Amino acid sequence: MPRSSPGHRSILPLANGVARIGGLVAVLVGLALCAIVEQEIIARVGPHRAVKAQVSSATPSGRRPHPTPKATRTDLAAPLGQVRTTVLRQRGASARAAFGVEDLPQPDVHLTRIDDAKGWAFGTAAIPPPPGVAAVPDPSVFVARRSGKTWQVAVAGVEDFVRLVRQAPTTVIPADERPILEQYGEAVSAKEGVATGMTLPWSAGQSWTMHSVAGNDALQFSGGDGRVLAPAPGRLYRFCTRSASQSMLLLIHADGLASEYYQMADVPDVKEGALVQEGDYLGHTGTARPCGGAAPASGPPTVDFTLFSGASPMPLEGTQIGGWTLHAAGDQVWADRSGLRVDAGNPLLNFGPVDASPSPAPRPPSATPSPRSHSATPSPRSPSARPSPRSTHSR
Amino acid sequence: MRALLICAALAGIVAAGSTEQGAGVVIRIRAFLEFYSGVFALVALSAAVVAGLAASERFMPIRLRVLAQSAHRATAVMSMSFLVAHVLLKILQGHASVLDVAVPFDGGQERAVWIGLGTIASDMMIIVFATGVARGRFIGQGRPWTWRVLHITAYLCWPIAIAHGLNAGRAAKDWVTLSYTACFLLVVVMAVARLASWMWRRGRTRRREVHVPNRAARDSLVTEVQGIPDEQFWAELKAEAAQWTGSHK
Repeated sequence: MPRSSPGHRSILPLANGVARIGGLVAVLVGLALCAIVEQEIIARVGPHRAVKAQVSSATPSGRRPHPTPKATRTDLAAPLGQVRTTVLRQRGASARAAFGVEDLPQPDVHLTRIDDAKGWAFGTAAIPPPPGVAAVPDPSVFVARRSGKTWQVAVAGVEDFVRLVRQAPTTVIPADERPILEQYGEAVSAKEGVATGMTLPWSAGQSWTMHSVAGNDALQFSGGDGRVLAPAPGRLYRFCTRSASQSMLLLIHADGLASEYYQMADVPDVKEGALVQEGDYLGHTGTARPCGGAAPASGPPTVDFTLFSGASPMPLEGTQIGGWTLHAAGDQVWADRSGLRVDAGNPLLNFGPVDASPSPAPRPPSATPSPRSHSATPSPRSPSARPSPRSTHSR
Repeated sequence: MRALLICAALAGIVAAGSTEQGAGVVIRIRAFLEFYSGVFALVALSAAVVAGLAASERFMPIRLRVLAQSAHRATAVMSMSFLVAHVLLKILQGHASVLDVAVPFDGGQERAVWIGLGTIASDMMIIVFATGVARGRFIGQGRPWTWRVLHITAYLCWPIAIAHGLNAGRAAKDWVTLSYTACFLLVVVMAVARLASWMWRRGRTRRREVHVPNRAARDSLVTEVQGIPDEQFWAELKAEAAQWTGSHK
């Protein structure tokens, strides 16, 4: 026994108590880890919903044709060339602003559907960034109508687009895609502070790292299990489809919102225009650059994520997604939620779906984060989280 | 009895985790741990180093030393638990691979160098912790210095852990860097003082051996003031260690 001075109480009980505190903390941390691992297992092993391509209901007699590879080159050359010039003309300004350059490479045009007989076409085009520029390609959706020898092309965001969408036959634009495309074409560019009503594009409970893409209103996410999931229901359109499993995706959601996904690999073979549900698998983080723009594929696998309101990219500042409010100042990007701030490069946790309905862009911006987006409804698969207001603390 | 309690708690946790309310709580705990477990591990490690220094400081009263020893044990255990949490969560997040736990500088991630330093520091921490736990086995066998040499790698492990903490993750705020630097300097000062007193004592001890036949009162007083002679120190430590490990040597 360590000798304690006679007449004094032994220090040993206190010493033992202090030692036990250490053991207690260790046990608590161990239990917390068990719970976390359990949730992780549930999240990974649980039923994964494959993307269900919506079977178009009640199509009229003409079945919607797939992109006609059978069409001869001469048939396609005219609309393709026309589309390229139109896209550069109509989207060039915003692309130049986004890339910070004067000369733009040729857009990568993908004809989703073409009805040669009636002279209509629908497709997507992406303007890739010039080599050396780290930016996300500028996406656009177009409708084209042949008049005589030339094609009249309207890119989303231009007035004619909505008119042409309404006039296009269902072989080129099916009936169930029309409303969403009209809203997309009509949506005005967003000011700051849009409550998107979306969740983060990965499984609830995972934390991915967020980075900014230099100078753009885009974000890079990486980490977790790498599976990118749809953050809200919407219709899926492909870009730069040189290889189907690496195409760039644009999800057009309700109310004119859209989200773009770049650098993904393993993109599933979903029919274009198909309705995708929230939580459906979109692809895996990667380093693919199918739209060109020769930036070397390096660094960790990521997904480049951009939000659009109509045809123009949504500014990051004030955008609410997954219960987080994004902020951007200069090159810095961060997210906050009830006083918890996460800087770029730090783990961003997906707390689960939010129940706020998206506020459509044309409405004046909601300056304060709406309380609606901070509550969550319990849903069968994802856990609910109720963030309580905390005093602001930063690390 | 304790094992039964832990099992019951574990069962309760597993059941609660599958409810929706519980899952929300787990997510918040996870966010908290992902953010802070590395910080807590490093802070607890620093506290363990300081407490360890205090516990073996021969000029301190024995009661405080016993208290410091239990604080050393507690903070070491806490640091170890937060280290496990930190490593596990970073692997789950995808910031490090399972291989990174043992092999440094292996992954190609950005900041792989700093993550590799974390691997090295954690490996050393495990050795330090294991030798600390198995302290009782080193007594009475072999040279007394074997244990010391192994356990003293904590002095090397700790600055490496600080370097990892400041650079491998999010950019450290200024006050964080300052407080880490302050802790580092404090420990350096204490360690240097320890080294100095040790060397001083060794110098005096050697000189005393030369003058063995001379047992002047002044010399014996000096001996008492300098510190506890080795035999008494080891006897006390052995008794104390027998208490912790339950051995009855």
